[in-house]
Amino acid sequence: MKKNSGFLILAILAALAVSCATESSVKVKVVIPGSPAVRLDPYREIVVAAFWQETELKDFNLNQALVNYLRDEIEHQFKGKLSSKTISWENAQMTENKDFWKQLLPEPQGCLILTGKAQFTQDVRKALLAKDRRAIDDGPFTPEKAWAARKSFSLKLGIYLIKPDTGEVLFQRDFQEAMDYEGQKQMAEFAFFDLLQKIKLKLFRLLFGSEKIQERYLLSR
Amino acid sequence: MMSYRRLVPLVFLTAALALPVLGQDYFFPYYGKNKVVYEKFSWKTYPTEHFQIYFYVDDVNALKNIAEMAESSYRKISGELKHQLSEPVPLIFYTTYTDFEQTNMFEVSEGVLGVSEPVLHRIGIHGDMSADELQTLITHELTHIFEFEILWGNLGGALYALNQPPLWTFEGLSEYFTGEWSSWSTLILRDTVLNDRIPELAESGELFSRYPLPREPAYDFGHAIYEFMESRFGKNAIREFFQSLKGGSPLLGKRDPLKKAFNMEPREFSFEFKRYLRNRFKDFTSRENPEDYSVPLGPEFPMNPYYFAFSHAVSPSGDIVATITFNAMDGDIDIVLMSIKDGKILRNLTKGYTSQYEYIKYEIDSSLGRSLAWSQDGDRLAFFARDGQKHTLFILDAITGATLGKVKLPLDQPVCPSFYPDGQKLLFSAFQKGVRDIFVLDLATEKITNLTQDDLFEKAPALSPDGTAVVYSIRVDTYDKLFLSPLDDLKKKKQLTFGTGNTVTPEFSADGKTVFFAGDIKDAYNIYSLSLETGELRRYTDVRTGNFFPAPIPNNPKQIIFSSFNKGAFQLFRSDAVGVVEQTLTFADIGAGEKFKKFEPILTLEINKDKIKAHEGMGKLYVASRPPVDAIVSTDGSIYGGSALAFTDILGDYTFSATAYQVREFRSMFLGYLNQRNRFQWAVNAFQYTIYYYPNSYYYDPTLWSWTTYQDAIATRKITGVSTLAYYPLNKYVRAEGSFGYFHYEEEFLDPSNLGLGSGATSGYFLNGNMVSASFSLTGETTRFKRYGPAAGNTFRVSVSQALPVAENFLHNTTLEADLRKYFYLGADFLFAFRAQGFLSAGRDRFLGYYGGNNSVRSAYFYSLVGTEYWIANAEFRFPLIDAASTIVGPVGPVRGVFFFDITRNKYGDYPAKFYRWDTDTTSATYGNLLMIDAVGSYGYGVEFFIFGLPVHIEFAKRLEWPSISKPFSFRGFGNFKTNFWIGFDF
Repeated sequence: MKKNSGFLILAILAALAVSCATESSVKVKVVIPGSPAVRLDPYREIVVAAFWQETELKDFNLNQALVNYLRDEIEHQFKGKLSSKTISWENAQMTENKDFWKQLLPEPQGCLILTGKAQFTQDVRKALLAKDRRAIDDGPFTPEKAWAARKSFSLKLGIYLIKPDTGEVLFQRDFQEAMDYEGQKQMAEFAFFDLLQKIKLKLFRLLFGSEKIQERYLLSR
Repeated sequence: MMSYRRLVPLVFLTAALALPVLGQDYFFPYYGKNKVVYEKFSWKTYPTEHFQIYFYVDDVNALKNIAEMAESSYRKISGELKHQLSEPVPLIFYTTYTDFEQTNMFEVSEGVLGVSEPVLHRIGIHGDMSADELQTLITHELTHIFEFEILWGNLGGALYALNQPPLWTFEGLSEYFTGEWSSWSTLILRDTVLNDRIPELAESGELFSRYPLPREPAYDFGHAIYEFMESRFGKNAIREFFQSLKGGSPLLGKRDPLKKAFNMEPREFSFEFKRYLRNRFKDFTSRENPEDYSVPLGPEFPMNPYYFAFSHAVSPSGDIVATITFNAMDGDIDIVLMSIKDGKILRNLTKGYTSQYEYIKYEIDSSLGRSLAWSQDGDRLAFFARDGQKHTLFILDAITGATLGKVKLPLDQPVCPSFYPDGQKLLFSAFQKGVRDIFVLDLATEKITNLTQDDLFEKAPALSPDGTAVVYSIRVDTYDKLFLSPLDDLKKKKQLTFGTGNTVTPEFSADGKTVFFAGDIKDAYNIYSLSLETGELRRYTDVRTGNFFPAPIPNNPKQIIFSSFNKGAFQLFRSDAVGVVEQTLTFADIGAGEKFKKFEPILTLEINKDKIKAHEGMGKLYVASRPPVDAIVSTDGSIYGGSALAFTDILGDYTFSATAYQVREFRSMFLGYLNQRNRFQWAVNAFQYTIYYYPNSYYYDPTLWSWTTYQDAIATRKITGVSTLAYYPLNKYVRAEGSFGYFHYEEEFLDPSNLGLGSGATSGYFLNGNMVSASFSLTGETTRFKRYGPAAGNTFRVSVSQALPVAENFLHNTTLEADLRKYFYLGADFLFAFRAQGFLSAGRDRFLGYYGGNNSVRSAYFYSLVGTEYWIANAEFRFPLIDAASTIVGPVGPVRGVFFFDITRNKYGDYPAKFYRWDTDTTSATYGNLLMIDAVGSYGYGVEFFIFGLPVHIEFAKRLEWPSISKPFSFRGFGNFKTNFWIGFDF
């Protein structure tokens, strides 16, 4: 009890201190220019190749969705040509196999291969959560807490840009995103696109140097 | 969404039924028209994978169609947005629009096809449309539900959401997912692009147009923006853009979704979007403007107040054309006669306002056909109007506009009337239980016969001049095609037009050998003719925008009248019928049993009849709308504030509400239950409300004059009780109300010591005690409202309440009240408004009526006139000053002026009906004496302006006194002009 009172007094003092402060601030929007991590201008074509996929998902062709998405999205940012290619991965270490990439395209000059590794997983997590009561016919004696389940999805994406003329990796970054959904019917395909959209923002910032908007506070006394 | 429109919260109705003396009574002093529940629907439910379908139609095939369409729409939208809805969507299907209008869930008006609402994610639709249009509608509304859930989470999330993106982001996406461009939408889009009137995307993210548009740009231009996104950034961009609207600031501009999604500023995006649109319609730039080959007839807005020519009919003499138009001065739909020679307006046949019908029906969708017909003798005009539950055919004298006859029709959406040559019958098309057919009405017997009786979607019938044949259109799959049948057997059909494209609104030439129509094979609607003898198809126009309703001029067959859409409006044009031959068609005879291709949803479902359940009772209750916050300021400076919370069932038929209001330090609380399931509606209420007023005896008490103000004499009346109320609408305008209840009254001065009285002192006329009373009232309102308040019509309410002799110590009285209003609209928003109110309470414990201030008796202080009997008469001349003004505090307007006059008499109990005042005029012979005055009143002037939607009044009133009411012209003024400030609507 005593502890609670002390906390309350501290909280009130903190609030008073904040309210009595003479500082004022102006919120401004700042566009932060981003410089790309890799220069794509010299290349005339990007070939999006299939990804290494650790586990296949039932009813959802992840590789096809991923390749189509990246091809379509990059096409709107990249001035050169976009195409896609189906390749068969033998193992996850194939990114280091320069010979494989060198013999992949008939005219490798001026091209880049975009490929990588993808891991998409899903599981259901349960927890004791406060009950969401919006209908009043549940009666007054319903428990306040209830078991709640969340469907969780996780996407790990290792993106590689490989020069097909030398087989060297020009650019490599790993991304990972996860999301929970209340709806147990949430489809893997839909969650995949939610996660992919988040990764796209980060990836494109690196590839194309997308501008970033930040809110900053200008302080004055 | 409104598609959603301004919902009148149910709590308002509840409160209006229960608490006529609460604050909104003087803030919003109207009784309201009635929403009549003409039919009690036997609701049933059927669950599908993603929907809970509510319906009452007995036809299982209709349910199957709805279920298939709904699931087809779901699959499409879910796949595109990559989102699944967390709960089944309540899809409430009304068979017809007139049924839909009876819903308690939404406030719908003519033209509303469907509504989706963001709190409970309900969709309401009706079936007065073709199958493909219904599919489009469901897709549109269901997209809204996806939008609501993506933005605000699952059920109820919208109640707490502050984030409200611009309308185009919602409506545009919903239109985009339909994948359809209606001819009306493309017409608007093409017209604005080709006339360089494309709306701009502001920094705030809102779409705005510098030019008047026939409909909110959010729909068509929102749709076009999403198409532009797809074209410029790919299909994923649509989903990503909408996802980027989630959370953050309520303003689009501050969250920069365009920047986030496309790395573009709104200005840059708008520029690119306009370029995209211009490119999209570049092929049309070389086409004709209607003025290139025609004589514009008008209506020539703004040279005259008539805007748009929605539909027209040429007189048999060929020199006059009757047109349905919008009268911008009255804000009403009218029928005017125009000269075919020069377009001069000859007469407005439906001038002013009428209570004969609610409104004249017309169709924006030209494919449904004309909305007017001229009899072959040239004496009569026929049109349909909304009247009561369904529609009524009106027949007017074509010269005077007098109503010659009317026939109520038990059908929905009647359109395209055509007189028989003998004038005794009339052909038209309409919906009967959700199926559009062609009917004939015998004007003498009022017998209606269905000529088609099939499940085809027949539209726009036109009779041949000799009355032997009828030409009309049928919706085949997703196109309207022309057919010809003998009038005596519409099962025999000859198909006249084929292939893709619509061919609509056929009309016979005077010799009956040619059919004129509008067709959109060249994307824009143009005028065509088809020779019934040779099959020669001739095109007369190649317009940029669209030409409709071709009508050959009877006495000059080489000329046609048609309407053309250009620069945002339909106008009539007269043109020489010089066309080019496009091709020669071969007509096809259609056998009686031959099937036409029908629209099919992408999914098929089987209906499991065991899953169809009757929907009875209330079921779950929900908070269906955000609690309103009301604030009112009165002339005494008191501030009135409060809110209400309502719980309703899924169909909105049952409402529980809790209301709390406070004015000064006085609180009022109210609990209510309202049952709106049937036409007979009822409510049960429990309440305690405290109201205040200023007893006048102390204001005029000479011993207190120097010591108190009128406000020191404040008295409170606390009423605690329970009551039941019943409400029965006789029609849309008139209703009967009854109530029965127990009330406990406590009245006292708030602070007797201010008045030099001891604690607990009470006036002799205060009421304290219990009462059981019953009341009955009759209320009518035909008044038409404009955005500033009442404009024309009548309002009345008379009521009687009787305290029942339950016990000797219970209060006992009889009270009569009357309120009569009349508005004379002079045009252009000038009007005279009159009101007479009376109050009479008799018996042992008479009630007090209290009034004064605001717009009742302006020279009196607020609620300072008190009596057991009184009457007030008001007369006001109201006029417009400024329509709208842009100020530093935002838009203000309309600004209106008023000259007013009022007079009242007042009597307390058995005392003389006098007002008392000391004579303060030192030049008077009666200086220092107590004057007795028969009546008081006021005159003066003022302005009213609307700011943030609130009507604010500043007025200057001078007191008038009538020493003797028997000499009404011997009045005198008293004192100076007093300045009043108050907020509230005009009576």
